[in-house]
Amino acid sequence: MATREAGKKMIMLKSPDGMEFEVEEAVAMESQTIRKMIEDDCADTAILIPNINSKILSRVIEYCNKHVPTTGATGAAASDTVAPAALAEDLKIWDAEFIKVNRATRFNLIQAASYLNIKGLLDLTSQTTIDTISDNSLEEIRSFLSTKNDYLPEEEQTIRRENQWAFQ
Amino acid sequence: MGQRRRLLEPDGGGGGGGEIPSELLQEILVKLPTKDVARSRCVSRLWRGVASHPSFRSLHAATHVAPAAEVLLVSETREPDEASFFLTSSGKATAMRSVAIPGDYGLANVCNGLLCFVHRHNADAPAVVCNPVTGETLALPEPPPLAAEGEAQHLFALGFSPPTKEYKLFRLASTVVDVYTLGDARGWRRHAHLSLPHPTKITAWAPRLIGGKLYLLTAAWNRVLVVDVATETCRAHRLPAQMIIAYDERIPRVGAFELDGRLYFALHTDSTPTAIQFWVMSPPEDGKQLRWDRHYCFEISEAFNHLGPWSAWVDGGEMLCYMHGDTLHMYGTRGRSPPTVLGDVQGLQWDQRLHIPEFPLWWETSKCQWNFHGGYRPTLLSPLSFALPPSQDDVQKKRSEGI
Repeated sequence: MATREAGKKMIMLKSPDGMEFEVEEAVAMESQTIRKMIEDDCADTAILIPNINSKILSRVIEYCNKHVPTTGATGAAASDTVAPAALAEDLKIWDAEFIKVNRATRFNLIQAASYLNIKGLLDLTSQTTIDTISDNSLEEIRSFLSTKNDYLPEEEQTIRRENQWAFQ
Repeated sequence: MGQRRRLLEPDGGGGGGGEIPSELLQEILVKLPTKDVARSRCVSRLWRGVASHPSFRSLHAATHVAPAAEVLLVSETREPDEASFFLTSSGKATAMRSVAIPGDYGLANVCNGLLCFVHRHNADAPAVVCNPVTGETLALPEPPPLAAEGEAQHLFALGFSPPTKEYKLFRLASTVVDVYTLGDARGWRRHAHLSLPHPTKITAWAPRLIGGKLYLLTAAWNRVLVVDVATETCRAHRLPAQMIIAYDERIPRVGAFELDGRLYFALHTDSTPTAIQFWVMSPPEDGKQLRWDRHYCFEISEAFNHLGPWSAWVDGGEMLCYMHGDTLHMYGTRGRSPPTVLGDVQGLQWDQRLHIPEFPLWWETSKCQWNFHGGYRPTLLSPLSFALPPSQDDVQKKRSEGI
């Protein structure tokens, strides 16, 4: 089993394009997928994260670094001085900045969050798309999400009629 | 690694300009309300494929809890024999679908996002469950014969049990209660030991499902039956004397709906001047007695003889609505404590009266019946997911329309 010492245990994460990232175990364990690997003792050496390139992985690590709970040996002092509400407010502002990325990056982040099982990151990254679908017309959804309308005109008419109630 | 890979290709399979990959789309759509998913079906074939996939629909139905109940207007017409569904809000009705329903069938009740239709007279005919979002229908297994029991009256009600997430169809008669859990291959079960007050002369108002309990009115016996869907037990409560009214088979004078988790009754009195009263029933809980309180009372100017079809329901969880003829009356209950009622009639003033001539209502009651049903929660749940395996097909007729 991985030991939990007061000192920071480090974990090496590798992206498929050969980059290596050394992160604190607590930070890496924000990912439930990695947590399980560590707990199952499959993480002696470097952990290869498939399908997540170094650019995306570094952003995921950035997110985890920010969101790792500030409890335990090093965090106790911090939570004494900063009110929880202020901390939460700070995180919200940080999240809003973090998610200002282009769509391709955001989709990659959603995929990474889904694979690594980081709920907070998945909620954050998918919210923009959820809002896009909720708040916009079909034409806007197609344009914002680069989705081609491949319905034949009469086909689209039929499906729109069947779901007409959902447009009110 | 030893981990099952869930990840997609890094750049989203489809190539091109970063179109959303279908697995990612599923991840997103499952978080959206039913209405947004229905709209999303119209975006493209890929989106329709994701949103219509049976596994996605089951996942969505199981994880998505509709935050607010909607109001559904159901009209049943003959020639053509069909039922039409309209989502309504503040007097505006949006057509959902029309579904072929045999002319001798009528709506039993609305249960979350499913509607249950039953034969108007024949207790042994199979019930039909319908989802207005998709238009899918499923005929359930035939119930065991009731005529042999010498039963003249019966009532069907579809219920939902929150602890077990099961849908159950009840058929209540004076000496026996039959229950069928949707999708249960063992079929109908009979409770002969339940002693029920005779549910004769049930009003035309549909049973209401509130918090896992079905509330049914029995006019001739002046009782409310409360059926606990999970435990399959039943209790009867006497109506207060002021609520006991003459029974009229053609035009019921009493109806029921849910407001703030409690059962409300709308009641037409035949005193002069005529009035519509709203009563609330507080179930006997925590050692407290059952209570009936008259909360609202409105005078009605129309002569009672010309009552005609009417309906009462709650819009948006707070707006008391009363539709009579082509006039919709509305009264906001939020932030207003129920007034103390003095004497027999205290006329409150409606906040709004809307004339709605374009409402899809037909006045020939022989050809069309309509009613408003609150507590409707649109779902993607497919009635076909309750279809029994092919071995049971002799008792089961499936029909699928639409998607």
